Amino acid sequence: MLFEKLWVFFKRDFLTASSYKFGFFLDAVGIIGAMLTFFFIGELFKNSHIPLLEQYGGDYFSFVIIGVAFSSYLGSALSNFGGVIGVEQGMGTMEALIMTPTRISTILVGGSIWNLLFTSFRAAFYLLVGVFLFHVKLKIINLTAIAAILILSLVPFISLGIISASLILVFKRGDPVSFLFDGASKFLAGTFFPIAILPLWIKKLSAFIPLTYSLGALREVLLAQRTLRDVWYDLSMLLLFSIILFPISLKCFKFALRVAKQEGSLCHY
Amino acid sequence: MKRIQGVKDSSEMLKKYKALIKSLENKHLNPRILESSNPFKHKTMHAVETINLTKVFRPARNMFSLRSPRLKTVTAIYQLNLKVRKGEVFAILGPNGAGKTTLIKIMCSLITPTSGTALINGYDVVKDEDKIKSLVGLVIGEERSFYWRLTGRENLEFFGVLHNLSLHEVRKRSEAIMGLLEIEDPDKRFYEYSTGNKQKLALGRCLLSNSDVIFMDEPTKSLDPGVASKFRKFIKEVLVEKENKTAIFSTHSIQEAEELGDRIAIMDKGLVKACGNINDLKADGESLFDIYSRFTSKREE
Repeated sequence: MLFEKLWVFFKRDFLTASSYKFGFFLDAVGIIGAMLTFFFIGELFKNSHIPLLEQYGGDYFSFVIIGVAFSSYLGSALSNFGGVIGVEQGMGTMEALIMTPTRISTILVGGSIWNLLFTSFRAAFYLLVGVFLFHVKLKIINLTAIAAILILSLVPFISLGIISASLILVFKRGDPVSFLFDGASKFLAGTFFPIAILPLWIKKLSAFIPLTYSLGALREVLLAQRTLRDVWYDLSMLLLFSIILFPISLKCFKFALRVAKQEGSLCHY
Repeated sequence: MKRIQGVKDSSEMLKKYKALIKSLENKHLNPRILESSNPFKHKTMHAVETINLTKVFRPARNMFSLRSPRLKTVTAIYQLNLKVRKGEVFAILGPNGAGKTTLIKIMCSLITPTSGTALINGYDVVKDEDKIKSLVGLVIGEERSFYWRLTGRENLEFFGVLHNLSLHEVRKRSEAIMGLLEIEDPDKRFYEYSTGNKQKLALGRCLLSNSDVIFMDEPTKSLDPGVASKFRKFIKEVLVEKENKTAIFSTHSIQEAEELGDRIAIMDKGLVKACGNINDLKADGESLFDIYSRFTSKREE
């Protein structure tokens, strides 16, 4: 039954998204446009020696493509759950969903599947266009390490996403978790540049952002052929974030649901 | 909490249980204390029962003022006691702001009451929320409760599966329901539907789940008189008389309450001002309009 429920959520979102064909087209154009920008910035620095990029193979374009592809991927894991609540409240379908004997966790996961798959596809598209059109040299050798980094990165981001959904449930708009971890983390975690370039006090803030460890580990594995053992510190930090954030997020969500039901604002937006 | 001891046979147990409830009621004690040990929850006589149900809304939250003591609270429902029998059509009649929607949302476990108890077939709407969702269906007058980019059929399939029906079963049932409700063009997108068709689809969604108790919040609000009349006929003749469901609907139309309701509760400012069948209410020879006007603060235009 759970599989069928997840399937109808996927089908619903696919049918809805594909009914906006122009949006689909613009999204693809947007990806290529962004990549062209980074490609020419990369060309600018092509013949310069940048010591801060040495540990990632030395090529800026490869460095930034991984940053952009994965930060948008993990960012969507973060904003998905809050997005599901916000969209259902805004469309007016929240009440009808809650009235069904389906757990709210299933509604959250089901409502996120399409987005998560679509952003996975987008991240893969970024990398494929990078490899085939712009000759990015990815070293996809250590698949175990890549899988471990992705899984351990998803848990803290999903947890933050659940906290974000809790805030949306109670406050409707103005979600500081997404703002802080999606917006600011792109800067603090070094999506576009190595964090070594940042002043020390900002670097200290980066240590509290899970994306810092995800991108650091992914770049080392994909660009410099590092192994699981080489990135153990990043992985253990991601594990620590997961252990702390996941139970907190579940508690937050239960509390928010109780508050929304007491206030009768479950379906307000 | 009292316990029923030394009882072997289940019918004897039921008798003792009822006697105990009666004795507690006679002593003006609250029979709710037995609720948690009630072994016959599903055999209760009433589809819906509220005991001193109260809902007080506190001011809405925002990021910067979590709770402002200056803002007034709103009492939507106060000490409400209602009983709706199984297989009955029950009308909740009242002006805007009477507390009708709040009451229905509490009964559907969408809002938590501040105090008191609300039971559906003997199950508590707060403690037995999962059970309530399989017992209760809600026809929402709000047309935004559907996905506008999906067709009527796709919408029914989606909600049917969420009501724990298999895809195969939901397809079969939605086909039958669409035929029964005469929903035209089930493969048109929802936003292309007429208001009448949208409302039929809302009822269709509710029928998919095969719930025992159906709540309808102003179900004919935006329908023209002809469609509204057909809709009411369907509720009375098919839903209640044929399918033996219990239907509870809110309305501010006196004519609708009179035409459809077996019994009517007149609500105003969170209180039930009068409740009974139409003959009881009109016992003094007054028209329902006069009774309604007497009990409510505003005259219905």
